[in-house]
Amino acid sequence: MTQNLENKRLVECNSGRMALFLKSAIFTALFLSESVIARTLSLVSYENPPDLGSRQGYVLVKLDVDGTAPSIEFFKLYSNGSTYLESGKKTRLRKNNRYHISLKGKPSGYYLMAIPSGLYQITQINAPYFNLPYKLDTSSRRTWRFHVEAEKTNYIGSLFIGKQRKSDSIEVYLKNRIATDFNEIQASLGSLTELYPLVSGTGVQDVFFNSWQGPLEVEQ
Amino acid sequence: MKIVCQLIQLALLSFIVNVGSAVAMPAETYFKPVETMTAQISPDGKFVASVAQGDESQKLVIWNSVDGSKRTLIDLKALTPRDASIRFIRWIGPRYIVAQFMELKKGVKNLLDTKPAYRLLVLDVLGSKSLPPKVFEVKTSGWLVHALPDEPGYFLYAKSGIYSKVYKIDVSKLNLLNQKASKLVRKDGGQFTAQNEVASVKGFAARWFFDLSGQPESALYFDEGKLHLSRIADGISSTPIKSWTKEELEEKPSAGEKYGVLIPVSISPEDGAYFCLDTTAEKDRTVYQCNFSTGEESVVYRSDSYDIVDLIIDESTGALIGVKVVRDGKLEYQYIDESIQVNDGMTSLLETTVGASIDNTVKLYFSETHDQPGRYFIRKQGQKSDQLVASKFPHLDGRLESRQFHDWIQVEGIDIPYVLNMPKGNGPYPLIVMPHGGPLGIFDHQYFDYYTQFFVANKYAVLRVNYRGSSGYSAELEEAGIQQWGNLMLEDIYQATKVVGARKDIASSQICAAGVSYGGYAALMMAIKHQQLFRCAVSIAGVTDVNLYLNSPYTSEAQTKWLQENVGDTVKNYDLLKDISPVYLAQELSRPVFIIHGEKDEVVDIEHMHRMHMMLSKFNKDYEWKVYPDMAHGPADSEHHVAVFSSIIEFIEKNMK
Repeated sequence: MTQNLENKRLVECNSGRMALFLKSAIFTALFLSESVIARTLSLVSYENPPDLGSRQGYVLVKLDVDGTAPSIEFFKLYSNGSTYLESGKKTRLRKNNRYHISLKGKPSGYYLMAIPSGLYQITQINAPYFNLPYKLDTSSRRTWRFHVEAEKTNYIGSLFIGKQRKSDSIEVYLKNRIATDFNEIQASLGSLTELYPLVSGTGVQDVFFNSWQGPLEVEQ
Repeated sequence: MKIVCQLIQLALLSFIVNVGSAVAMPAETYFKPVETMTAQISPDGKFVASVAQGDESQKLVIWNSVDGSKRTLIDLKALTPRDASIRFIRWIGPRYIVAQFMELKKGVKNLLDTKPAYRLLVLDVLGSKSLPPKVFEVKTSGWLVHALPDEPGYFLYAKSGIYSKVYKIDVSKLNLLNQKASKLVRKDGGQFTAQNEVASVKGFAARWFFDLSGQPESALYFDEGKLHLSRIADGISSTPIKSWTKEELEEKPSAGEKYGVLIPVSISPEDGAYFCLDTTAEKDRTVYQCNFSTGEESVVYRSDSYDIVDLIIDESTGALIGVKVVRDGKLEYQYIDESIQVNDGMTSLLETTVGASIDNTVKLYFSETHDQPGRYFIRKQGQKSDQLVASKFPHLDGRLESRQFHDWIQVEGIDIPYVLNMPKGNGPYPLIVMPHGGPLGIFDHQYFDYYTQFFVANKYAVLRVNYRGSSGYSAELEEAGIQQWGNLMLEDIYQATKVVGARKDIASSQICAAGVSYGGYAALMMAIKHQQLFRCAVSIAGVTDVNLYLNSPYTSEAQTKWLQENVGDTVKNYDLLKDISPVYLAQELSRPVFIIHGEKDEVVDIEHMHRMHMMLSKFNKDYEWKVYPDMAHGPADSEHHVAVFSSIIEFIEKNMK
């Protein structure tokens, strides 16, 4: 009997521990799943710039997207503050910094969002069309990176997702067009770029905009 | 005062007239659409069918070799309101000509691959000239695979599916175009039945190969995740010749291998051999002959610059006589010279027999020279003179006269060939140096070159240098171009220009560089690096920032890797590539430049032009720029050609003085 009681207590105790374990496991699982689920961000028209948080900069992108529900996903990269990854450096995604942006119904034009400074990798483009799901994995493509400097307007390029597609392919590009779009950006966002200067936000090395802005060298 | 004003007006008018007359061959006169795309002779030699291309639609034209008359059999504009083009034509006996055409239908909204519709029409050429021709139609999806020359009025037609089959079709049993099916009128005359089946394979057939009489010899087909080439015996696949897995088909050539997986596209007259294309090549510019039983592979033809999409085979011998290439988005026929298949000689006459009557008494041949665009002629046995049937550019026939010279110079231990075209006369002539695009695996040939002859017709000498990296000569020359974009390739162009510029018949103080794509890049670099020699430069769709080009959004991963190996690594060598980019050298420029770009360019993005424009503006340089909203990678249609080349001539004349 005593033994039975002891056993029962043990069972109860074990069940209590089990319940506690299960609770914590569920909590941990929820916490973990919370961390890997992408945070949803929004792009807003350049006419209504969002407020910048601490150590945040503006991402400026020109959109030319179409389709039923286009969206992109991106991660922050480990980059030690660099604006691009140097030769030999591996791409390491910060798993807890995963983002998702819906581009559905966005008319063509310039859009902004405020995000923390750093180097980012666009990892996936989604462009579903009826029963033809489409996901382009861009996680290994250098040209699908962008970087954000705090307190700056970081032009990351012109994102194009074609309206017309084939059954098994669709045209999707991130075009580095800072020179092409420069006059338009100045005309549309001149007041914003006075406060938060325009910089090239492409995630590969590109010194063009800095060189162009640099002083004239007077020949001796 | 009034008289003075009138005198001034008269003086101005005469100035305008003089300026206008300075252009010997205005671009409006020179640049017109290709009139004849291809031609085929009937088996009895009495007719030649040709496809005439206009800016708006295509026509199938019949030329009668007996009385020399011409007749339009079909005009696609009248046949369909949709965008349509003739993909190929072929004679089925002496009476019928087959035309397969593609039209763009409505399809599923925004789904591009549901839009093209292929239709095969069979036209009776023997009907009354005053009435429209009798037109039959094949409605079943598929394609014509053999014209059965020994059985007039019959042809072989392939249909692909889980089981792919070839049927023998009788033209007389087909329905007339747009005839509605009913109980009495069966689709295609009810001919797609087992009774008419001549061959079948289990799997989706991509190609069928026949002997000259039309007996099925082998088939290339997909089955169970593999691509198979199998011999056909008694109408069914029997002996497997070769199979490729999906991985093998996508496998890139390993180091030291010059090409990847070769896939047969046509049967060769040599026993057991096929004409093949490299499926893994970034650009399909080479035709190989491959024998899968012996493992022998050899190069039989290289296109100068455009992607090969199909081969042109002499139906009577099975010999390769040309290739179909895509140029400026349009299908173009390139014929191979009978005497020189690979560019080992330097004659400027290209002559190819396109076809012959069955009794071999009448031949249709294609001929072009450096200053005469291609023309089709009929040569009849026993007749001294040939008859002109059709021209690619009839408005230029006999109007272009120029001299052509070929020579070589040595640069850094390599023979660098060049082609120099000169107007007739003693000169001295101003010189336009026109480096080709590419730059790797492309070359300037010795036959008719559209842009060169335009400049020559306007009294300019034109130099085209086959700098290292160019194909068409030797593997050594081609391989020497690897990683030499802004270095020895440019040195070759400069050295050749120095040698040619020293000729007595060249005005050495009037040299300008002009080019498209890499040619545009090289032109800018000539004006930057060698300002003592070059007076100006014109860059059309030119690369101006090499790192930006290597990070192009339009290239696939495989293309990016190829560029990294052959041009440069933008991660490892960013600064080196920056140092050979005109954008960052703009400050050094002291000669006028003209930059031209199309907004729809998906090879060299328009960003290149805007970067150059911003830098030239910053440094207050002498330059002009022009953007064409509807132009892609260089001018393609007559409208763009006229606009672009008129402005180039104007710029060059202004800056060569």
